Amino acid sequence: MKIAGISWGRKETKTLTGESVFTSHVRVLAGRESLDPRRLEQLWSALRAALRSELKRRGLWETPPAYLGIYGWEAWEAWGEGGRKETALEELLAECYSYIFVLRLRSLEAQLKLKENIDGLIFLNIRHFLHERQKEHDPLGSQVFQVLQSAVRTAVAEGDLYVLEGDERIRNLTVLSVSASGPALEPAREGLAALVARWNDELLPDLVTLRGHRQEEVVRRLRERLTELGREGFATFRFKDLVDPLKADVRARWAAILDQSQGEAVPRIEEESRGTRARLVPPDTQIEERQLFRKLVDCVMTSLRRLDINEKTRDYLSTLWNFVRLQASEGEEPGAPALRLDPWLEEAEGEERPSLRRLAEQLRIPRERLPGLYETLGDLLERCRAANSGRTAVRSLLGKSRPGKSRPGNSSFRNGKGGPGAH
Amino acid sequence: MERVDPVPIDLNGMPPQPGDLFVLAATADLPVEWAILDRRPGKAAGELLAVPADTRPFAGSADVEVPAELSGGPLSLRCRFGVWLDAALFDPKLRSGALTPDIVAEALQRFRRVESGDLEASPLTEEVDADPEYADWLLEVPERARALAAAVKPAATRPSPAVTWTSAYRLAAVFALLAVGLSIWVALLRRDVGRLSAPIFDIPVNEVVLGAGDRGSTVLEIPRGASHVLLLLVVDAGVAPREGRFEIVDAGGRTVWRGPRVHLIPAGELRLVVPRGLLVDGRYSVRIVPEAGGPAIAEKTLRITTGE
Repeated sequence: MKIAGISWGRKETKTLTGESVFTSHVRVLAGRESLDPRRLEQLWSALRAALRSELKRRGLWETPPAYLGIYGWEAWEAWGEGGRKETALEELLAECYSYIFVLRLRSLEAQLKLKENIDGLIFLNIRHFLHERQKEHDPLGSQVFQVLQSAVRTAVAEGDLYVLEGDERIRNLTVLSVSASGPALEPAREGLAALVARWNDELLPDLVTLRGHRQEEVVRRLRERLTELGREGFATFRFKDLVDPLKADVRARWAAILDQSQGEAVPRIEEESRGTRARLVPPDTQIEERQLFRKLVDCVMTSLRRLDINEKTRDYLSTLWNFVRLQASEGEEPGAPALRLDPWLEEAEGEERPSLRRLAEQLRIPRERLPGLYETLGDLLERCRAANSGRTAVRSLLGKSRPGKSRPGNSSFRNGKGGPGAH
Repeated sequence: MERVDPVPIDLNGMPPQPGDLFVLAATADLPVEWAILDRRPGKAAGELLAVPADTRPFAGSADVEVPAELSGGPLSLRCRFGVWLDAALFDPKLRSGALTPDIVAEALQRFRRVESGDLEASPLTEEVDADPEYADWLLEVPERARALAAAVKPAATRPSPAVTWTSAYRLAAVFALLAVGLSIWVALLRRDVGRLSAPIFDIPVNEVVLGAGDRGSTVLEIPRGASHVLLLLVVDAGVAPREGRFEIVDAGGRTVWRGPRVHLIPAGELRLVVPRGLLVDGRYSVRIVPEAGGPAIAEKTLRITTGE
């Protein structure tokens, strides 16, 4: 059985005595037996090795630990006198253990009713754990990967690109070519990264702000760009050779919008060669906080759908909201992501806000519309926060009037009947 | 984080029932459990509606997420892949957990919406639907699980022991009487089913927003001759998520209709089709009452009139 590229039914991590470490640990936990420190150390080593290997396979070993929500470190491991020091990897390891052996213990026990060995399932869970962390803490990178992956899949299905080697579902190491008998893979030629980065001139901000079914539009535009590869002489390449420079360029342009210092410059390896900022913020947020954040994001987006406004204004609001949401998820500011939304939507001239000029340029929204759009989003967020905290919202959009402030449009909901603020 | 489990009861040896989680030998090669949502009479042991469930956090528009703090969680119920299975496939020894009743109700509703084609995606679930990794997962795990489970035939049931001729005659007499009674009942039922199965064309639709304050009464004018009314009950975004029930009470305080317990979702919508006979012209109060009791969470006054 092969799921997501892993043969989880057979993959095992055995001790010197031939015992499956992970399966054995689940049995101990299920039997409520006391933990033997020696065996616990074996488990910890095996889990660390599996996690390190998966980080490398996903190309995350070279990226800052902040992209997985581990803050305050520049690299995953550091060695000093006396061996390995307390590192980002150890922090991630503790989170991974909890994700698998605490939160999912019941499900693992369930599988033990049918199978002698569930080590493969633990490896699968490590993949899920990293995937989820990436989506939560590196939404920009995840979104770029997803859109490019969809575009490449479409190009392969339509015969404009061919998979020469690797996973046909398109992963970092998949080798692609513009012809079925393409030349062998060589190190990425100079110029490929620059070509890919230029695509962003036309694709941004939609590449990261168009979501859901509207994402198809930007997938189509990116898929058209892929035909340039053959014309420019890039015959064979890895998917990673495309996605890394595309991500790096998006991050650089995104960072440029934020015209204020947010940390120290950190040299990056490989894709992040432009240098970026370390995020010196507290540890990962709790599950409840992330759930609240998701609820708020969903509530505001649902309310946006119901606003009785013209489609252009709705597009502007949606683009600006996705920008704010991404900034809050990226964790550039201390605190829970739901709280990180506030500084972006409070005072128009707040310190956290990027300049309106830069924002207007990058998001392609008329500058004079931005204050009104911010205000509407602030109102929606407030109402959604009230709805999710169980208290009554104190303001209504319809009833509120702020003389002298611009409004993005008539803010009634579905003919004044439904949605936040309706009376 | 506090986990909410159903009342602990010893389920060992108990037959499978809605709310149970099971692993199935037929899908042992896949990382799934099965959540039972409903039961219907069928062959020997009856049939159970089950949906595959896994611990991958992705949740699209057809999935129901069981949060970590609830019994059985964290789990994603893949309601698009629900299937009616012979109850004999569920071995009581392979019961692996239980879900809370509100999660079962939510999943059942989601399954029915998938079936009827009126599934509405929230913006975030729409984003998950568009993710190619999610599409891969559905194809490789729940869809395969459904195919494997549906292909399995339960072990043949043992023939029942022989009965004596005397008891057979007695049984035959009882069955003959039952048959006469049943044929009358069936004829009556058929008449009702025929009447109720007829399509309702151009059903009047009215939206009732609850939770935005009751600003005077809303007049609903129902066309003369309409047999049913569709009420679109909209929960205002200002209403906090919690368990509650919808009620319609007439001017005399008599409860005309009381709905099942539902999980109230801010800005969520529920559809209620009411026979016109239940809503004769007059004043009504539509309200949401908390499951735990206490004053109404939201209330709206309606005046029903007959239009031309």
